[in-house]
Order: sequence, then C-alpha cells, then structure tokens
Amino acid sequence: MNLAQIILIDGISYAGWLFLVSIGLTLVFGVLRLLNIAHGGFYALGAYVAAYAIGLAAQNGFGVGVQLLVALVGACGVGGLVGLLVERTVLRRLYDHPEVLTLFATYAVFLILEDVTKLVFGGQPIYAFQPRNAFGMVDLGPLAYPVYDVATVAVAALVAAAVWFVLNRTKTGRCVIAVVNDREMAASMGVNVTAIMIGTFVVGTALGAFAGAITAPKIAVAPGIGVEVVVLAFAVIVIGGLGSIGGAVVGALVVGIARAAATHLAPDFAVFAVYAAMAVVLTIRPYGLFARPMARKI
Amino acid sequence: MTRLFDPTIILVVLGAVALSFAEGAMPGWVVYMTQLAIAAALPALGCMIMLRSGLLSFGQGLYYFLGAYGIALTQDHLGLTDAFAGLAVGVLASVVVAIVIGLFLARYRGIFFAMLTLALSMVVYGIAIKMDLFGRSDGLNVARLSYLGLTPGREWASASLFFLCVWLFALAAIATHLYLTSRFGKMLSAIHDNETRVEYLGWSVRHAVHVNYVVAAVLGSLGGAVAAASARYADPSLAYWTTSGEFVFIVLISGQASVLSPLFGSAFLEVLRAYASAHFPDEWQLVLGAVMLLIILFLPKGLGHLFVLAKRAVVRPAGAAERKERAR
Amino acid sequence: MTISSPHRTMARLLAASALAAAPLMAAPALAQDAVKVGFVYFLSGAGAAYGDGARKAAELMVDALNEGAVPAPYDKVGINGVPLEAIYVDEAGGVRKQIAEYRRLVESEGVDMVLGYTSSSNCNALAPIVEELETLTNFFHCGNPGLFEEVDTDPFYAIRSAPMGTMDQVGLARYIAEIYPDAATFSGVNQDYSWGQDNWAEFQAAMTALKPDAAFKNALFPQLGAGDYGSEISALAADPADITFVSFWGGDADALMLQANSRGLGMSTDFAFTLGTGVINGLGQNTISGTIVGGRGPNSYLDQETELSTWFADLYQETYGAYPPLSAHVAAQGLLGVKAAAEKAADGEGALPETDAIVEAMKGLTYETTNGYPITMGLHDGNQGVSATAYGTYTGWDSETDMPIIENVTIYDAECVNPPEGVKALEWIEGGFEGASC
Repeated sequence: MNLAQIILIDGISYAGWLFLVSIGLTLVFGVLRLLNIAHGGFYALGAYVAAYAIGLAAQNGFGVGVQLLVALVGACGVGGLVGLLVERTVLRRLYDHPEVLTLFATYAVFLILEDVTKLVFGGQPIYAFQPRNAFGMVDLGPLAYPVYDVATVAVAALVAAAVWFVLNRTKTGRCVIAVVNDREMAASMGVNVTAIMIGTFVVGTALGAFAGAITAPKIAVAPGIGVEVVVLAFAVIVIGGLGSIGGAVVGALVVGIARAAATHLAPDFAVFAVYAAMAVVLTIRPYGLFARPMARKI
Repeated sequence: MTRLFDPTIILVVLGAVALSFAEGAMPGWVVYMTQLAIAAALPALGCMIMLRSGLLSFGQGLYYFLGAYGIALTQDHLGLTDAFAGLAVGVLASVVVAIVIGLFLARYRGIFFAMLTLALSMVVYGIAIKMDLFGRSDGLNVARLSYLGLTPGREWASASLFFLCVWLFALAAIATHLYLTSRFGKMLSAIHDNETRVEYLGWSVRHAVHVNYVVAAVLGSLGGAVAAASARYADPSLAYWTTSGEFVFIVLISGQASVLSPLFGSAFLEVLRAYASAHFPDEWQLVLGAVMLLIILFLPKGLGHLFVLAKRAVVRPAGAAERKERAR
Repeated sequence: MTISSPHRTMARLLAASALAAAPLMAAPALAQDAVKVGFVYFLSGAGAAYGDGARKAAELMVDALNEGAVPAPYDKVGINGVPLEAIYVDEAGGVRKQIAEYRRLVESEGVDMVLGYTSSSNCNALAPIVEELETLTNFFHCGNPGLFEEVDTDPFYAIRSAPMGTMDQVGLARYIAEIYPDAATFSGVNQDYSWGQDNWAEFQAAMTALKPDAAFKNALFPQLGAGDYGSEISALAADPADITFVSFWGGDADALMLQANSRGLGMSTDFAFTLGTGVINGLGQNTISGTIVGGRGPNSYLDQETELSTWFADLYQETYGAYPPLSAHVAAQGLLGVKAAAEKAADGEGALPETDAIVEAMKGLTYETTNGYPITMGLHDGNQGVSATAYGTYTGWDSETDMPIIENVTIYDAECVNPPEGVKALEWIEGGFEGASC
C-alpha cells in the first residue's frame, strides 16, 4: 500500500538524521560510561559553525561542494577542539566520581555552550540553505524527496559503517572495545586508557557537531536548537541499548518509523509516540534492544 | 520519647519557628522564593532517600506534577479550595501511581531505573500537554487556598500560605528523619552497600525499594502542592525531565548529610538563579552553568562538605599537633 | 508598615543571607527622576529568535524617547518628560521562575511598570499576581483570548495592548473567502502546544462559519522545535489541501517553509502563515511564492506608511541592518500604548501619573503605532486592545527596492475581525461573527 511506503520512506529519512545525532552520544557512553547532555550543545555549535562557514564560502564565490566541505570540516574541527577542552578541563577531574556528577557537569557545560554560542553568533537565526537546494530532487516511489535528505541517509550509513570498521577491524578499535569491556584489565594489558577516553570523547563531540553541520542547511540555525535534540538522541540510544552502535541504528529506526507512522496515522500523538516507545521498550527490555544486561555485584 | 530530642528535629522545629516569626519582615518576593525553595526541597528529599538505597530517580517530576494538579483539579472539579483536601488528593493519587509503577520499577537498578523513571514522567508530560483536563501546555490557574473552612483575608493570605509551606516542610522533614533513622531506613543504606547480602539476611530488597519509592512519591507530591499553591499555577512542565533533573542536582550540591540538606541546596539554587538573572539577563544560563561546574569540580561532595572542611580546618591543626605529640 | 526592631534585624539578616547582592536590595526610587520599566522578552532558548527583535526595538525606542527624537504625537521626552530606565529580563525558564522575576522587578527593583511576555502560559500565570501587586503590566504580545475571558475576568492592572490572536484566524479566513473563493479544502500544521492547538481550532471555526462546506484534511501537530518536518510534508503532499494553515513562529516557521519549498509542496497547496512576515524576514527570496502572509496584525512588511512607521522602519534598518520584524513592531507598540495613556492622564509635564490614573486613561484610548494602524483599547472594559489587520500574498522579490512583493493586501477593520465586548472569541466565531462590521 502507498501509505506504508510513505511511512517507511519518511521514517528511514528521519532515522538517518536521528542516527547521526545519536551516534556520538552512544559512543561516548560506551567508552566513558557517561551520558553527555552537552551533546546537544555540540550539535548546535556544529550547526552554527556550518551555517557561518557556508555563508562565508558562498560570499567568496565558492560552489556548493566547497561550501559543504568547509562546513563539515569546520564543524568537526571546532566540535572536536571544544570537546578536547571540555575533556581536559572538566571531565578529566571527574572520572573517579559518581557517574551522576559527571552527568550534571555535562549539563552545566550544555548551559554554558548554549549561551556562548548565542553570544558569539547573535540571537537572530542564520541560514545556510544553498547546498541543500542545489542538489534538487529525486522521485522515491510516490514521493519527491530532496537529494540532500537521501544523501543524509547515505552519510548516516557511511558513518555507521566507518565506526563499525574502526571498532572491529583496527587495532585502535580493539583497544576501545577492550576499554569498554573492562577498563582496569585493558590498562593492565598496556592499553593507554586515558588516550582512548580522550580520543573517544573528542570523536563523539565532533560527531555531534557533524550532525549539526549536516542539519544546518535544512533549518533556521537559531538559539535553542540543541535542547530537543539531546532528548531525542537519548530516547534513541536508550531504546537501542546504551553504548551499542547497532543499537543506535535500531533505535533510530524505531523512533523514526514510530514518529512517521504517528504523523500519518494519528497526528495528535506524534510527540507522545517517542516517549511511549521508550517506556514500552524499557519495560520489556530494561537494557534496551541491543545491550547485554549487567551482572549484579556481590 | 528521647528521639524527639534528636538535634535534627530540634533544629527543624527551631528553624520553622524562626521562619514563621520572620515572615512579617520578609518582602513578598523573598517569601515567594522561600516557598519555591521549599517546594523543590521536598521532591529533592525524596531523591535523597532513594539515593540512600543507591537509586537515582530522574522522574520525581511525575509526583511533583501530581501534587500540583491535586490542588488545581480539586479546585476545578470538586469546587474545594481547601489546602488539605488538595494535598490529600495529590498524595493519594501519588501513592496509587507509585504503588502501581513501583511494582515493576523495583526490579530496576542504576541507570536503567533512572531512565525508566524519566521515560514515565515524560509520557505523563506528553499526555498532559494534549488534555484539556490539565489545561494543556498552558496549564491551570490555582485560586487562593482556604484552610479547613477558614478563608484568610487578603492581608493574611500570603502569611497563612507561608506558614502552611514552612510547617508542611518541617513535618515532612521530621517524618523523613525518623524514617531514615529507623531500622528500615538503615536497611536502605545496607541495600546501597550490597543488596545481595541484605537478601541473605532475609529481607526483600524489592519490597524495601518499593516502599521507599512510595515514600519518595509522597514527598514529591507535597512539593508539587507547595509549588502550585505558591505560584498559584500548575502546568505540565512540572513533569518535564529538566524539572526532575533539578531535584537530583539539588541533592548533589547540598550533599546528603541531613534531611535539611535539600532545603539548603534548593535555597542556594533559587538565590543563584535570581542573582544570575538579575545581573546577567542575557547570560544567566552561562553563570548558572559555570557555578554548577565549579561546585561539581571543587566540591564534589556538595556544598554541605564545606562545613566538614571548615570543621576539619579548625580541628585538624589541633589534631595534627596532638598526633605529633604522641609520635614523640 | 512599622517594623519592630528585632524584626528588622531579622529581616536584614535574612536579606543578607538570602542575597548578598546590593543592587537586588535597592530601594524603590523616591523622586521621579526616571520611569523604571521592566521589559520581559525571550532572550535565550528557542524564543530568542523572536525576542531578539523585540529587545532591539525596545532599546531603540527607549533611546529615541529619551532623546525626544520620536515623531509626534510621541515627541515628549521619555514618558511625559521623565526619561525611561530599562531593566531587561529573560522570559525563558518557565512559569515559576517568571513569577519570581516579576515579583523581584516589582518588589525589589521597584519598577513603575512591566512590559512583556510572549508566552500565553506566562501571561495566564502572572495575571492574578499583577492584580495583587497593583503594578501596571502590559502583556505586549501573548494572544490567547482566555487571558481575560477565563483567567483574569475583571482586569485592572493587567492590560494587553496587543490584539488577541483571534484576529489572525478570523482575518485569514475572511481573506481566503474573499481572495481564494474556490478554496474548499484545508489542512493545518501547528506546533503541539496551546497556541498551535487554539489557533487551529479558531481557524477551523472561522472557515466553517464563512464557508459551511469547508472540508478539513490533515491536522498535524509536530513538536515545538522539532526541526525536521519530512513526515509532515509527505502527509501534506500525499493529500494536498487547497490551503495549508500554519501558525508556526520563529525558527520552526522558517524550517518548515524551507523544507516544504525544497519538496515542491508550494506547487500542490497554497500555504497561509499567520506569522508569515517573520518567515520573509528570515528566508527572503526562499519564501514560497503564493504564500498568504500575516504578521500577528498588520506588522512588518504589512505596515502602512505614516510618519511614525517610516521613521521606525528606517531607524531600525539603520541601526540593525534589517527590516523590523513583527516582534519589533509589537514591542514598540507596547511601550507607545502606556506612554500615550500616561501623557493623557498627566496633569502637566515632568512626572509620571499614578498607576491607577494611567490605567483609567488607557481604557478606551486610541493611539498611533509603528505599523501605521492605530490600536484602540476597546475590549474587556478597555484593558484589551483591538486593531485592524492585514493579509497579503507573497509573490516574489523586488530586487530594486530589495523588498518582498506582497500583492492583494487586504485590510480588515478592527470591528470586522475582533469580537464585540462581552462575547467570548470562539463563541463569536462559531456564532457566525454576530455584530461584526466589515
């Protein structure tokens, strides 16, 4: 049926975006056991840097390709740098403290990032729609979709594949997995745990900024865009299982399709659908769809 | 009887008496801020007793919401402006909800407990912003309260509400203190340390967690009632995750030394917020975040730890000298 | 009030421990060397995109008034010769924080009046407190009819010079019936909170009253700040209505327009944005041609040329390098309203009249605004303003003047789009606009 097709297309398109937004969050949780609320701040930061860079590139007469390249590289760079700064000045001092303390530290960082971005870029929205409009549209069955949105899904798939490859097929990735499984054991085997943790956090924040940069051309980049994002990303990785890359894929698909279905079938419940999905999954599988339960300590 | 001479209880009563007398001299905005601090301190107290057993709830906003709407809906649908009727409705609703939810929540630990409580409170938020019953996202206005048939005149309305809030908190704090110092309360800490061992001793951890959850829910709903009565308003944001997060944060900055700690923490937060928005209307979030960060980084055990440090600073030099003496 | 000395010590102690900040404790100004005004706009969060324009306009107006540089009839310095002193407060942070902030403004800063509040929940929550603290408060922007219909039914100190949102929906329905007589099916995309839900209900009622055979298709309610509207656009495209009603504001409105534009949705349905001039402010030529636009009244690009409106638009553009958005007009209007009332109530120049006298003077007052259309304080015993409104259709960009081309601009008199005194807005619409004169 036509409607099922439409829901699937919309759902996957939304899921691609959700995955990009969530991957950095789940990666950081997996390695650092830290729910980084500031992730939304990095998303906003990335969007702002991208919008600014695209505007700058366009002003100087560069084409869309260069605009996008500058935006993505710039966003990842700034996101990673600020991430490094946050890790070195804040998180580093808190690894021995209870997790909830680090959680609130990231919340504080989020508040600071929000206001700093506002102070740097101003309160008025900025726009960077040129790259998205330049790619035109493609027919997907019953729907005409912007090529840019389809490409976003492809980028999401690429990012997923890249993260999977790095984690499972490279030496660094193996070390990361070792740290995830047992920090002390990994350290005793000669893995530089500190370096792995710094690296993961920087990559995680850069990915958050990357997601913001990818999104910038389709929205008005304005104050407050990071708030809803962190809640959504949180729902996605909780449903999939915290710290699991495969889980983030599945979680994004569940939330994406749930929202698309709600929009088409029961629009009054579009907002509610996400949290309901989260509560249901958690009730049935407390550890999320993909993560393994933890053993009780004696 | 001797437990009534517990220093904490005496402190609570003295504090409540002092506040009651001070009311006449406090400007309206200070009265309001004190009430807001009390409102947030109650659910934070609930968070604190759950933390005793090692559980972190990110969903106390749910009971904050129920308590507030207990007052609002009793007025709208039962036509009663009585404070105690409203309180009773909110508490009753919270107890029922907490018993039902607690049945399966009691199985969860750690971050999963935190996440499920958060998700449930967000589900309630999602429902409330759609329903006329709750005034949708706009919320409902709350009329001035009456007290067991007495409706205070305009000049007394603010004072009587303040007395209610202060003494409600005092009673809740004393009850919680007795609860925590009871055998059951001590078991909560034991659960935190090692729940398997507690079970070997023949106690049901799940049952204890469940009971504790219900107690915390009652505290949360009392706080919600105070919030609604003070702001004369109830809205769905009471159940939003950031509201719940604030309660946890209050416990973090205040520490868990005593049942008065959450009040200390929430008053601090209230003052900080007022200060930041008065002096930095454009950057108050930044100031708030920066102070939060400084506290977390340099006082990870909470502001209450300042007292410990101060005490140590006074005692240690003497102690060190003594030790030196003994070493000789 | 007399305070005995132990009490006073206690108060001082409490005050000192509560806030170790001198400016917070400053006593209310005694002599009238300045009119202290609290301005409350969204300065952070999603509302900041909107509050930014309001705040900029307020700063500009305060400076201009203090220099006496505003054209007649507002050429007196400040308010009635007394210069203005502005205190800005952020509206973000929730209802309970706003009440604390409001009380602080009134009881600690000792402001003479408060102008502000965009969010209807903040207006609803504050109205009873305004009456209690007896401070003139102009809810400059929130548009929910419920404020004076249900919450504060006998308002005195709470006034609202901004017309109710009802006007937007009724004006739009009339515009559609007149300019698009063939439109028969309607869809709606509105943010999922009271404002969006109410607007859709009012629009449906107004459209049905004017066109009894109007059919409604999709009624979509995405989350506030959702950012991605792919599913909504698919739903609209799958079953396009003749007209799609949108009450979005701020960044959400721009994002929806952008995404709808790139999906070519403008070809299959005509959009009607009740805050459409705001979208033009942001997107310029990327606004979908053929979109019906309003401006929460006849604001921004829909303004009418007068000496005052030209002065305002020129000064705003000169100062901030952008055409004044609708929130700028509304903020200026909120200040001019109380200025006009105070000067009417004044007995000689150089002092601010008593608050009660200002409120009394406000009732029934008609005053000029920066959009060129006067506001009359005609409803709810003179505490609620009404004005004419305007709608038009955006058809393209004039590169010579660097301004949008808005065609078929139609103006509706205040009595045509606002309910008469004593009738609730929604009942008035559902009853077929009884007493309207168009």
